[in-house]
This record gives sequence, structure tokens and C-alpha cells, in this order.
Amino acid sequence: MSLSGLLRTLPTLNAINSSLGSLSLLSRQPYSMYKPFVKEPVYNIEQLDKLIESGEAKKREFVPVKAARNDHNVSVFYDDLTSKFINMVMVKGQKELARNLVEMGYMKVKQIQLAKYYEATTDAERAEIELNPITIFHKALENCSPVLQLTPIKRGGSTYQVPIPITENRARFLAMKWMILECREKERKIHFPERLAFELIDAFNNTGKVVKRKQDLHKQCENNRAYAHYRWG
Amino acid sequence: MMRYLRTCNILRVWRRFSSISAESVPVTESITNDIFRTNESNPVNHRVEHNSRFYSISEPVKKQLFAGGGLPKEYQSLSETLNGLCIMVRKPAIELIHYLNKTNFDAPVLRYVLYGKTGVGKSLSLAHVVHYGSSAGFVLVHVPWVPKWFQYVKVATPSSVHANKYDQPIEAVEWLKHFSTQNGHLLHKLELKTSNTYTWSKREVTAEGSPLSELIDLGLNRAKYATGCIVALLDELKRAASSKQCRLLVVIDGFNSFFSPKSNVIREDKSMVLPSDFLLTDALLSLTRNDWNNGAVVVSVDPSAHPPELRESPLPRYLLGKTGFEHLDPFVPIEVQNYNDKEFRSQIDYYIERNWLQQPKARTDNGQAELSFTSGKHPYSLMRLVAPY
Repeated sequence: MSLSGLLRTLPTLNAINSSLGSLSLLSRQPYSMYKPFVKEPVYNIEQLDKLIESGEAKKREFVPVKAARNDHNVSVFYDDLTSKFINMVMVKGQKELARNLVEMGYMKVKQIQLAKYYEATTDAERAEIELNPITIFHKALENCSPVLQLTPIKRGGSTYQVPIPITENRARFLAMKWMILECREKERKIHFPERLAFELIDAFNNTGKVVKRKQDLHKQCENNRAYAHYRWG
Repeated sequence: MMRYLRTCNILRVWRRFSSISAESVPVTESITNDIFRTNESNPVNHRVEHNSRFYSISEPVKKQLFAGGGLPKEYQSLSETLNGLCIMVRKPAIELIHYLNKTNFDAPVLRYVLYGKTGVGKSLSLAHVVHYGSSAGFVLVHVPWVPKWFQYVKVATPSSVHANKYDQPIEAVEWLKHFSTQNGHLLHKLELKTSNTYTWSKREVTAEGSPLSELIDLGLNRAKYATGCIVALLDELKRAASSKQCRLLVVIDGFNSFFSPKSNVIREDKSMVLPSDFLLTDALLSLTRNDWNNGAVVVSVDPSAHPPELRESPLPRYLLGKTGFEHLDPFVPIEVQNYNDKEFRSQIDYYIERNWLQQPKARTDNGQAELSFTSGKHPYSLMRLVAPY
């Protein structure tokens, strides 16, 4: 059996119980094709330098590592969130198109902000204008991420929308999803990159439709707070 | 942004002293005001010392020279974003300016052919030469992009002047407008007159000895005769140059399109109208022949001016074909290459100073090495790589 086959066999219940007995099944990804001891690769050069300095690298020398992803790289332009976002924009496996759309969006963000920058007359005004599209993107996602979410819970024949806490991953996913859906809205005279640019800048300033959607969700959660205890039956 | 501005003012750390893994050392920027710019905005004075520096073109000059075309679209929109048109002074343009300054105007015209891969800077070098020509008092015959006349023709009509040839009324009017904007005041000063009578129809006649501006106005008002007007105008200018009344500079971008085997015009019997069947082709080929003097001809050949099947090589012999090469032979070939190290650094510095290259990590030595590698120092590729970040 090949090494990759060995690494990728789904762990049986016996294997889980015998190898890391104290850890519960829930703490491990049950659908991962990799065995638990297989490490995530480190791409970032600075992180690698740190590992070497601190001596961690020596410990990792003979630990198997997961296969490299196509989109992960050591480029100075690599941003995790952007990569995730591009994947979510992608449809039918058209990665290049998705990447071009998002990159065009970033360029448009820069164009809009630079227009404001060069129109500004004082240094103070100029200092306030954020020009980095990645910073704007991160802040926009932060502003669009909900803090609670609603889940349907059946009690006595009726289904109630109950507010429950949200994980970081889920919140980030919702923010990105809402952003993309907003950019794909009907009347496509304005194409995706321009819409993305406008939406990102609006969300950065805590205005716009995506932030409104998050705030509506929060309002709904607030309205349904009476049912919060349904979470525990 | 604020943090960055303060850092820039306090820490003027030079590029040479930055380290590779930038986690512990603050991000170093190369904000050296004078290395990548020059104050010399008159291209007549540009010399080798100005190489790899950016010089700025003022708005009125840009409108006068390039309103009808001449700057690549993406570059133009980028210059609008970056709040001012700046062109890098590079070796091909300096070479051309040097030759044009030293030309013996009594000898037959010299033809210069700029060649190189697509996206390497030929059109911008030509734009620099156009600015030079305008500053040095040449009358400019500038065709911004020849394929526009053959690949995207709006209307093609059988010519009123020549039986077997075709007119391009809309493109002709556009070009006459471009010509009159570029050369308006100069023509007015020179007071050039026609040396022939041109009969357009029973009532429309341009008499001998009438000013050239009349010919241009006729073309602008009557699209039907616009192409004929251009033919007459170019003929008159050639004659005027040879008789020392004016000095002519012919600048043509995408010259190999005249010898392309395709155009988008199809006759009723489904046969294609070749570029050689158009009247404008004849006019410009006559102007680029070396049977006149007191001027210069600067031309560029680009693979993208040919249909996609004919873009194998960027070299003039391949792109011009046998007829084109024999027409232009002998010419002075000038290669436009990718950026060298100095030009590359200068371009990056310009992008940083104009706040276009935003990513802090891309401004470090490591980032610049990466950009240099991934773009291959190819100007257009660098522009596309830097655009989103």
C-alpha cells in the first residue's frame, strides 16, 4: 500500500480508540481523508523561519505533511481570506475567471479610493482614506460578520427560529456568501467587479446592503430572544 | 495609512539595508523623490541621462496630442487614476530623438521601425516621439493604431476618387479631426497652400492655392469625400516638405496591419476586402516611401496588429511580409526590450509613490524580487500584476 494510501485511509473506530483514546470523536474532522497525525503544511516563509529558530522544525522533520494545495503559495500577495473568497466566487471550477473578477474588484477599489485621495486637499483628509484593498476587504468582512445566527427548532408541532451562538468559520462564511450574492443581484448592467468594489467600500464604512442584512439578522435574533432556551429543550 | 505615512517620514531606510525575512525589521520603502522622476518636460531636451526617469505631460498637451488616440487604453485609464500622465524615458525613444535631432533633412527620409513583443512599450515610445515632434515644430502625421482602420471598420464604401478602392468615411473624419487638433496652430502659422485643383463634385471644388485648412474642413464636413481629402492632404504635405515649406514627421503605430491578409469588410459576393484595397493604405504607403525629404518616418510593427494566426514572431521581416519589407527596406530597426533593472526599480518606485502598489510586503526587497521574477520585467505584465494589489 502506498504512503498516501496509508495516510488517507479512513480511521476505523478501533484505530481511533487505540491511537488517541482520550480524545473524543467530535474533536477530530470525521470526513478528512488524512489520518490525525498528518500535519498541515506551512507556506509562509516568515512562519517557516520562526519554526526553524524555535526548534519546532526539527520535531517536524519526519512527520508526514498533507499534499500541497493548488492555490496556496509563498507569494507576497497571498492572502488567506482572499483565497477563500475566490473559491466561493468560483462556479463550475472556473478558478481563473473567479480570480480575475476578484482582482479586478480590488483594482476598482483602489481606483475609487485614489480618486478620493487625490481630490482631498489636506493631509488630515488624505490620512483618513484607506487605500489598501486587502485592508478594506478584511474590515468589510469583519463588519458583515454576524454574531448570532438563527436555527429552526421544533417544539410542540411548530418550528421556532432560535438564536444560537455562531462559530468564527460560520460567521466568515455568511459574510462572504452575502457579499457574493449581493454582487450577483439582478440587473447586471454593472458587472461583478464594480459591484464588488462598491459593496466592499460600503461595508468598510459600515453602510450598504450586506451590513444591513447582518443587522436585520441581529434584529431577528433580538426579537426571538424569548425562545433562546429552546436550544436546551 | 496613517501608520504608513508616519513610518515613511521617520524611517527613511534605504533599500540596500533591508533584510529578507521582514517579520522583525520594519518594512523598508524606497521613497527617493528624485531618482525616478525628471523635471525636464520638453522631450527635445531628453538625453541618455534621463533614461528610466518619468517625465510628466500636462493636461492641455495630452488633450492636444492624444485626444484622437496614441496612448494604450489601459495606460491612459491608469494615468487618470494616478492623477497625471507620466511616461518613462527609455532607450528606444532617446535613440530616436537623438537620430531626429541629427537628421540631414536634405537627404531622402529615413524610416525607423520599432519592434518588440506585445506589451513591451512600443506605443508609449511612439507617444514620446509624437510629443517630441510637436515640441520641435514638426507637422505630425500620426496614425494612432492602424488595425482600427481594418479590423473594426464601421462603414466601407466604394471610393469616389479611385474606381477599385474603398473609402472609410467615419474613420477618415475621425483622423482629420485628430490631425487638425494636433497641428492646428502650426498649419495656421505655416500657411500652406494646395498646388492642385481638386474637383469633388460639380459644385464642390478646392481650387489651386487655397489653404490646406480648407481641404481639412471639407473633409470634416463631408464624410463622403473625407478619405479623398486625406489622400490630397498627405500628397500636399509631402510636396510642401520636399519644397522646404514645412518639416514632416510621420508616426504610425501597427504599420504591419497594412500588409495583413484580413479585414472585417466583406463584399456582397462574400469575398474579403484586403487592407491593400483601401484608399488610405495607398496614401500612407506613398507617404512612407523614401522619395521625399525634409522629414522622418517612425513606424512600429506589433504582433497584435495581425490576426491571431499570424503572431508567431515579433520581428519586422515576419510581420511585414515580403511586400511590406520591400516597401520599407532600407530602414533603421530599433528594438524595444523588457525593462532592465534600473527601469524596473524606477517603475516600482513610481507605483509606490503614486500609492498604486499598496501591499506593504510587495515594497520590500523580497517582494520586488518576486515581482521581477513573475513579470519577467515585462512592462505590461508588471502593470497587470501590480493592478489588484
